Amino acid sequence: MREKIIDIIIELTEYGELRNAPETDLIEEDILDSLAFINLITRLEDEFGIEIQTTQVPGDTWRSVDGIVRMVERAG
Amino acid sequence: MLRKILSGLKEHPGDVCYQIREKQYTNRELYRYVCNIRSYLDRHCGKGDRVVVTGHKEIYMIASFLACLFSGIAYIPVDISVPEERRKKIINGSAPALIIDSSIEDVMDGEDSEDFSDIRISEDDTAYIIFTSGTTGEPKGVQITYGNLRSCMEWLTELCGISCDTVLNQASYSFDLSVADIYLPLLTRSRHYIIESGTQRDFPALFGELRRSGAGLAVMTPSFADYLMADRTFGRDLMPELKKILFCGEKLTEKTVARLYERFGGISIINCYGPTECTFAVTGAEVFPGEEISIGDPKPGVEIHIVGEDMKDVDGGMTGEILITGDSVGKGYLDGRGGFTDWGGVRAYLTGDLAYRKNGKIYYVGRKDRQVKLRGYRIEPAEIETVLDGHEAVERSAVAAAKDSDGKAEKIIAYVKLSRDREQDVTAACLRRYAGRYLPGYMVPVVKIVREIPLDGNGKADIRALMHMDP
Repeated sequence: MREKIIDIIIELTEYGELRNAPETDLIEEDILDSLAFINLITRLEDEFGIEIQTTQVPGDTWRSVDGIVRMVERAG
Repeated sequence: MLRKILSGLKEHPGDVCYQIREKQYTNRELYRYVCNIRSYLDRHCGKGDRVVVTGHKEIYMIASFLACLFSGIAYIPVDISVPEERRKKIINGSAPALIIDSSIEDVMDGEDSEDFSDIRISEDDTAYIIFTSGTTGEPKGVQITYGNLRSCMEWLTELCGISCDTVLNQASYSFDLSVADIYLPLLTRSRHYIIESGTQRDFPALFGELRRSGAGLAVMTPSFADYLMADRTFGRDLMPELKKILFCGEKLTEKTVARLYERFGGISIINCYGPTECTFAVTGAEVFPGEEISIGDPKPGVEIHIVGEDMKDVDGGMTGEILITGDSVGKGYLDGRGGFTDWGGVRAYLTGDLAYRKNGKIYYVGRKDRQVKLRGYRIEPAEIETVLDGHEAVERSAVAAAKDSDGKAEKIIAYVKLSRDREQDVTAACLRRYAGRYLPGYMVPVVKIVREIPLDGNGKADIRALMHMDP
């Protein structure tokens, strides 16, 4: 799942370096901008068959790959 | 306009005029802050000077803008997110007499200064200067006069038709979309409700703010509305009082309008158009779902011409470039270059925006040049190229926008060819960090290192070929 999530983020943001540095802060580095964010939610919902209620997800979740993985696991 | 704002501040001292988080400020407090800053300005600069106002969105910025206007001083808003190198360029390019930051709060809270009733600014004096992305690689300062601002706000007040309400602010004060939500509340006895930039990526906090705001009017970019709609709870239950949304800054699509109507039954959507050079908005009208989205009608005092290469009006229905004349056309760039022109003896601004007319309405098509609109921000790819080309390892760069199926820019991509001897030690991430030192976040591109930058027949980078090239 983790690799799949990294693939999706790279596909949406074209930030290939994420594979070698998955600890990168996606918000601080401005990698996950608002448009990529919208697309990421849709992709995660489709890929993992989950429903994401963004208002229930703490903002810091989106900062890291690990945070997003944990959120998807909980939603699944 | 300033006379009306001053009367409002004095006559309704108990009204809340500004709210950020849970902190509210009344007209009495704002007026006191304006008096104190104005008196401070009197001691340090004079009419005709320029003052940079920088920092987070806080009450001191609004109080400083007003104090400058009342004193006939041009203010230059610089958001905290502007990187240091760019801030230096703005300061060098504008030669301010003073830089105001959060330390002005000590002045605001200091001993009370005297009341004032004189307004020193005249119609042709510069009210504010907004820096936008420039084709030469340097940000350029657009000067807007008090007459421009007054005329625009009189029209917008009429167009929005609000009174004693709450106006939601999304944009940073460096971005001229914020001009509407700064001055509309002051002119309509309404409250200016701030959404802090830091909150915008945190949905629980952001939606909490939207709910708490009780906003009747929201001023935002279409991209921000799309962003909010990523969550299903963005709708009538969340914002029961929302009556109107004013859009400006980028193309509004039919899809966004239709989705907003679904989420907010009975909402009124106003679409505006205008470049920074012409006081942020020169056309506007209500738009409805199921129809092609027009940019509306010109405001009184402004004429919109759609011209061909010969600078003459094109025949009805043909696509041409938007040329603006009238009382919204700004004073020009600080460096005096480009864009503004004499059009048959009339001062005009040639926008670079393409449009056509149908049944008396104007429809926006896109850009004539390489300029990109991303989330409402205007970006000149040449400015990003200049920054990247300044890196010692870069031989050449070419910047373009990747667009979605509606033709809307999704991200900025920089294709970079490295010098042969540096290919091993410089990565895309490293170039991205380098760009971030000089450019605001929305201009920092996705970097793709390529072996060659193919050229087109005119010797320019062939962007289409680059987009289909494997790195």
